[in-house]
Amino acid sequence: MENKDTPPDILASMIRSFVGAFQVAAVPIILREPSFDLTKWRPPDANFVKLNFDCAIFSEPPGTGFGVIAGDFEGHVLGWLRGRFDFESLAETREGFRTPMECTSSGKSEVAAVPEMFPAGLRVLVVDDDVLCLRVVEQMLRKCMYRVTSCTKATIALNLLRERKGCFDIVLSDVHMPDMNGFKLLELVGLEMDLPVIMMSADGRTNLVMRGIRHGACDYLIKPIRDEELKNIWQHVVRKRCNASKEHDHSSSMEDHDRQKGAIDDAEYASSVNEGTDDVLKTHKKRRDSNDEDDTELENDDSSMAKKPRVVWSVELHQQFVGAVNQLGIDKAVPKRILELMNVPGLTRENVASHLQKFRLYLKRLSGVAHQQGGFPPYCGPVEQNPELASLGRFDIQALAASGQLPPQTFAALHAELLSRPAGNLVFPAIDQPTLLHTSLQGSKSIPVDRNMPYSQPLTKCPSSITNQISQPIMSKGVETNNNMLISFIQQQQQRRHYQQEQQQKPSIVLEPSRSLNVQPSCLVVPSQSSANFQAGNSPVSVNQNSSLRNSMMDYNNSPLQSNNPSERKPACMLSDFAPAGSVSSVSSRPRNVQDNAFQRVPTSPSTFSAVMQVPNMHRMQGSYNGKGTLIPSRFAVDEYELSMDNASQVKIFAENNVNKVKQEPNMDFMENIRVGIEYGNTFPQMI
Amino acid sequence: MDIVGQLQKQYVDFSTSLYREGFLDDQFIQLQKLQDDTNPDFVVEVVSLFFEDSEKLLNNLATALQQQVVDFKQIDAHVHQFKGSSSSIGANRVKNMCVAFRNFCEENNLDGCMRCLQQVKHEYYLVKNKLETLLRLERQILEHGGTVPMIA
Repeated sequence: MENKDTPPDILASMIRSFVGAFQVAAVPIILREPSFDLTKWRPPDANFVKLNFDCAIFSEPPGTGFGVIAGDFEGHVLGWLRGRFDFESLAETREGFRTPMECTSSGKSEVAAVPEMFPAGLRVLVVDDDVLCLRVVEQMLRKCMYRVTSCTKATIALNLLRERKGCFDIVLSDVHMPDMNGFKLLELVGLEMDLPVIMMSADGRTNLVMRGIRHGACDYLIKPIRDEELKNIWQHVVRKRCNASKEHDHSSSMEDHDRQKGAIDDAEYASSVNEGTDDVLKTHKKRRDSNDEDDTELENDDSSMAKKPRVVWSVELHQQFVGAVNQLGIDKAVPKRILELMNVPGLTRENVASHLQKFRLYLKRLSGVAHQQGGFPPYCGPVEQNPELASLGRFDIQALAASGQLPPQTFAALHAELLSRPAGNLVFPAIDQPTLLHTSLQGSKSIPVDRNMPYSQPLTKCPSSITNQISQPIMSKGVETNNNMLISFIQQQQQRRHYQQEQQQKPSIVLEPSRSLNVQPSCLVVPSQSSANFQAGNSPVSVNQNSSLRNSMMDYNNSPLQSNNPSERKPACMLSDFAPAGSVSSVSSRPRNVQDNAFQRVPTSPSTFSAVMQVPNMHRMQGSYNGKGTLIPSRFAVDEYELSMDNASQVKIFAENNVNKVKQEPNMDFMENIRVGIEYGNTFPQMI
Repeated sequence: MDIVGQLQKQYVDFSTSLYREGFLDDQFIQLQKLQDDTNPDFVVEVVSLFFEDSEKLLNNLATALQQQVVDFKQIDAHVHQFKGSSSSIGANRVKNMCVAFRNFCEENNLDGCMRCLQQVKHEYYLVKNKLETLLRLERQILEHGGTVPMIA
């Protein structure tokens, strides 16, 4: 099958029966055809179409609803399906539960439109406190056929970007803003979302422009801005994507990345001062911290003008980095040791130092925000949050956070703007649902698609939203009992997790989220390799060992899973405290750590279950992965492959549980046979 | 010449003079081009925004300059803002005055700043007047069923 020639109907079929794993609200779920023989799975051929899948699970009495949207790289919805499964009919096995899922509706859209329209439809976020200028730029962008979202406050813009990862292609920001320095916003966006950012200012002085470039701006426009300038901003988007995909092809490509910043960060690092004098240090600090234009900055620039190869922080690289940091402990992580642990040829201490700097800023910022809100650092490091928060799985928090801290109206408007596709009866709770498990998904109601599956949001979701969510049960009101159970379960899990984490190396959940989401499930599923598999499609996954599921499950279950919860029969979406713990690292090269980590969490209570998910490939994820190592991808991509594959007619949801019971799997007729390939060359464990 | 024709001629003459005398620059023409059926009142909208913003900024500037201890950084920030908005609308002379104003701020020259404030205020009221006239002419043309001539 050629890349470009995916007929819409085939696509729809693929979507309907994709084989993959995803996790929603810490509920890992495996969808699989009943006849799918995991031992025989092979990676797809070279030509395949990449899709992004967003999934969601939600409460839909009497059971649980489930939805998938497939979209292309640009974020356009290509197809969707919605189904439901009923916990009452769960089949319990030694490894877990299985339940049939019925597909209640599905749809597809034309695949074609987007690419031809490019750059029309480019999704731009404009931030400027000057309403007049904002309005003018907005209108100019509209004239360019771009899709514009504007806001006057940088903090709101950041929230928007975090909540709706993958919903924007480029950011335009003013330099002088009252609530946040434009350069700071620029850095944060670069760090967290890796979107191209263009600065705007009425002040065109060279040193300011220089500062903008040094902070990572793709461009710097001087007001008044002309529409010809805006017409061309799409090139920055394309350029960034090209670089990102190049990064995929060479798994540890080293290109120059902020070498200047690196050099400067280095100086700011106590460990070594390459730049030399204290004055230089101070100036650098000033540059970073203050708003003031400083003529000495120019001099400093000149001094560090030497060209160095650029480092692109690919996902794998960042994982290794985070793994090393975790191993050392975030407080003790110094570039030298990190570099040693990472053991990546060609990587210099400066690269690591610069990256560490950014990473720390990122953490600080997150914990700073969380602190104001209630102290939940979403980052998976030492668990230092308030107990309630901590008890929720790390990324559960994120999920919660992601799942709707903004009022529905805001998002409805945004959604309308951003998602012009026919979402149909889309299932996603979307951002404006307060909880993922939203009960109000009615057939007629079109839930705006949130491309970023809320629950799958990485920890980078706005921490502030977390606190709002923390106190709310995960389940929607209709399922109170589940919530209570869930919460208590979570609390239990927290200790366990805590314990577990201490035992293991955790590359960082932070990293994982999208990946982890993708990853983890897979980790769960795959006996030993799990991690490897998750690597986005670029590396051929080598099937490492093929331990039986049983083994893996054993591992999984070995992690302290105690069934402490009172047994309640209500099914609940559980919070799995997935600690991806480094499981998802590069596919072939580092199979170590994978296993244990992979099978981290599992609800202990018999009443809770987790559906183990096989992870869809991370291709897309990598694409959207912020090279700087933040967790971002809001969707996981699945590489579909030839439709010629089996046509099992069912997909099963496998739930995993501590309780070892065995049951029959009912045959479900809800999904089509076509299997979407998952690009990791592993075999899936035999679930039953 | 009928009424529409007369109004249109008036409009063209007036516009041309505004550009010639530097009250408005090319940016204003850009704004007019941005107006279309989906945004039929775009120009009126941004002009109103400009008036609102400017009044606020001028008040802030006056207040800041009257302080016991004058905060030149703050004044510079206001002037920068004013420069931005005036350039966005194409109010050329106001913008130029802001540039001069900023220089005095950088020098912490209170007298210079006070004078600049008066000058910038003066320029602002001038251009405000001109814009109001221009928009009124446009309205009249439209009311009489004519179309507003495009100034290239």
